[in-house]
Parts: sequence; structure tokens; C-alpha cells
Amino acid sequence: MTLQKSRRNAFTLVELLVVIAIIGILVGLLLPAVQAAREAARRMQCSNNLKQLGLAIHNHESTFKFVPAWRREFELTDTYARVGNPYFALTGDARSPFGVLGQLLPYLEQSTITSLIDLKKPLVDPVNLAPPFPGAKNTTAILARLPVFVCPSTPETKSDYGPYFIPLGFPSNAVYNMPRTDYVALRGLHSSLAACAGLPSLTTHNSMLGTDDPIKKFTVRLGQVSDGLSNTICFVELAGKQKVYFRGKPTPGTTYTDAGYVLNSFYGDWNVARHPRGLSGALITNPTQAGCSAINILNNDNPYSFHTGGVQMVRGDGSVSFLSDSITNIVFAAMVSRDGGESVTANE
Amino acid sequence: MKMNLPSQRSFIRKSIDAVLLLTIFVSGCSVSDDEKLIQVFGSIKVDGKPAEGATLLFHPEGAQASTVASGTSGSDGKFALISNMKAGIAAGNFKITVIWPDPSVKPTEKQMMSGMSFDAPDLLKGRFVMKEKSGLTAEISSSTKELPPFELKTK
Repeated sequence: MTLQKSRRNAFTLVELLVVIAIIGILVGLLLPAVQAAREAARRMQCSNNLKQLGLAIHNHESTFKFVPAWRREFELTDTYARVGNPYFALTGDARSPFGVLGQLLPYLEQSTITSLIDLKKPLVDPVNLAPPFPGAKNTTAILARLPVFVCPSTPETKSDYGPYFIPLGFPSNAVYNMPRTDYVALRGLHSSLAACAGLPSLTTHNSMLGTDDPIKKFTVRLGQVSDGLSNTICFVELAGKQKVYFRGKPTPGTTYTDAGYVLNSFYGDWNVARHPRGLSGALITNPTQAGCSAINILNNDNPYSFHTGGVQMVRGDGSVSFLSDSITNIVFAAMVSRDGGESVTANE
Repeated sequence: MKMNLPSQRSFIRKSIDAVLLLTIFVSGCSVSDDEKLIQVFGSIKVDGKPAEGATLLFHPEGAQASTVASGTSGSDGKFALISNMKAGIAAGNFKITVIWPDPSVKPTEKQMMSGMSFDAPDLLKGRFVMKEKSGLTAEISSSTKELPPFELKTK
């Protein structure tokens, strides 16, 4: 009797296996939920960064009564910008100072970095560059990875821009590390997407921070945003640009953009703002094929993120919202233009 | 070993039932949403020759439909229609616009790397860009497989 009682107190093998199986199933159910919660947290951080950019735009406006256009170019007669810059002849792009994100640094609580760079000189001036650029010493400022410019949902990749700078004539035995950004301004609408929206097939420059003449018109007054600040996109996500991604997958092939030669540092050049194109989105072997889809297809010119269903944007009024990838071309085109006179607006 | 106690057996059976129920519950929530897309092909000739790299946009008529379908022609001038990243096109009436960027004009590597915007000139000189003026239409029904060839003239 006592022997039988002690046997009844233990679990049998089958009971144990069943319990383990149930626990396994429950953990299996839980894991995706945990992953989703982590992604939701990353996304929240990502949208907070956009909010900071939206506020910085308005702080800049409070100070100067204008916001910086996506890019500015120095006049050739601007001797302060030109003198002592050995790269002027080399890049042909040496007239460009910091893009809009660089101009916003003082308004993103980055005054430490702002004090180390010279916003009145080109970004490819030895004063603003770090080694291995010959003569450059500014390691602290220019190599700083600023979390406010980075979306945590984006996979981390190496950021060696040697393939970008070496063909321009810079020393080939060096690693050109640059911090990256996942946010861009839009310059306007590319003609291929304008055609999809039934607009005249022209590449426009009339976005919130758009300009077609970066030498003379490098400021935007809020009064120029006649569609309304809440109906106009200010910054969107364009993530993971060290690689070329097509609908969530890195593109195969051997084109120069595969290696991430496109510069996407926050202070960058023409890459700090893009013209969204109309893409078919059908073939990974031909990612730039024309069509009428725009969002989350290809991270070269178009809004792109690693969230499902669309990208995040900050509007001119500083509100952050989600831009669904199923948005119609007409609504998207209206959201891009600052003075198109359209009456549509994107739903939340 | 005496295992077949009634209470033990019912415990195992209940566990198995629970697992089965869970499996059914988890796998039971899949939704299918396929709008009917028709696989349609076509071809385009400009001045009698197949046009390579021309982009045709099919704008639906009617206020409800908003998806614009597109097709890009290959070297033989043939194209397949794509809408919303999927092959095919919904049935209906369409107005068509055509752009034919000059395939011989390509951006330089430096232009591409520095991210400058680039537009190759339209070989059709913008004649078929606006849907009200292009004069090209198509009617697509569920039985459409191939559209009559588009013959455009630049002169």
C-alpha cells in the first residue's frame, strides 16, 4: 500500500511530455508577440526622432523666419567658403554646405557638434572633414553617429563610403566611415510619379523644403506652404541606404548602388532629399522599372522603411503619422507639394 | 507497470484535445483578399518600329477605381500589365498615357552616386502624357488576353 502511494506521487513520462509540449506551444505563441512588441518600441523611437525633426524645423523658423531648403549651394564668389579647400576642384560638389539636417543640428540639441563644424563652409572642407581626408582633423564632429538621425528598425550595416570617395581622387588606402541617416526631405515629385497621378509629366521642386535653385533660393517661408502645413510632408523615412533594398530584400547584382556607394550621411549632398519615382515593384531583377507604386518598394529615391505597411512621416505642422503604402498616387502627390492647391489629405 | 488508471487516461485525452483545439484556433485566422486581376499583354510600335523602354500607364475611368496599371515594353515592344506590384489589371475602361524616355541617354555614374535627379527626354515629345489628350483607350474584360498593338507616330 505504501509502495503504491509513493508511485502515485510521481509524474509518468507521458504526463511530463504532454506538459512540456503544452509549454512549448505557449512559448511559440508568445515569441512573435514579444518580437512585435520590440518592433513597436523601435518604431516609437523612430517616430520620436521624426517629431524632433519637425520641432527643429519650427525652432529654426522661430529664429530666422524661414526654414532651410533641402540644400544650399555657395555662390562661386563666396570666398570664405572657397578659399583653402583643396577638394573644390576634385568633387565639383564642393560648393554645397550642410543639407537641411545639418542646418538643423543647433535645434536638435546638438550644439556640441555644431560648435565643432563650420556651417558656412562646404561639407567637403578640411575644417569639416575627418581623416583619411588629407589635411582633415575633425574626427569628433563628422564621425559622430547621431541617434536622432537613425531609425532603430533599420538593420545596422557597415558604412564605408570608400567606393564613393576613392573614384573622386581621394586616397585609396583608407576607410571612409560616415554616420548614416534614415530620414530625408522630399524635393518634389519625379515625373514618373506625376504621370501616375494624372499631373503634367514634370519633375517638380515644390515640396515643403523644395527648391530648384539652391544658390539663390535656399530658404522656405512657411507662408509659401499654401496647401497647409498639416497637408504637406516635411520629412519621411528612407532607411537602410548603405544597401539597396527592394520590398524588404537586399537586391542582388553588381551595380554600384548595391555596395551602398550612395552617400546618405546627415550632412550629405543631393542624397539628403529625393524625388519619389513611380515604380512597378514587380521584379527584383529590375527594381527601377517604371510603374505607379511609390512607397516601400525601393530605398533609392522613394520613401522606404522596415515597418510593415508603410513609412512614417512628419508633416509641416510637426505631427508624425503613418504614410500607408496603399495611398493613391493623387493623394501622395498632393501631400508632397506645398502649393499644388489640392484639397485632399491623407488619412491617419 | 500499471498505467491504465481511468483518471490518468482522461488527463492525457484532455490534454490532447486541448492541443488540437489550440492548433485549430491558431490556424483558423487566415484571410484571402484577391481582387480579380486579369493577365493582359500588349505591344507598342512608334513609327512602325517596336519601341523599347516605353512606359504605358492605364488610368481607370470612374471615380471609384484609383489603381493605375503600368507596363514597360521590352526590346520587342511587348509589355505585360502590372497593378499594385502584382501582375495583371482589373477589368474596366482605361485611358492610356505613354512616355518613352530616350534609352540612349543614361545618367553618368557620378550623377547617380551623388543622387542628382535625372530625366531622359521623352522621345514622344510629351504628346501622349496627358490622359485627356492622348486619345488612347482600352476596354478590358475578363476574357481579354492581348490588346491590339498601339501604333504611335511622332510626326
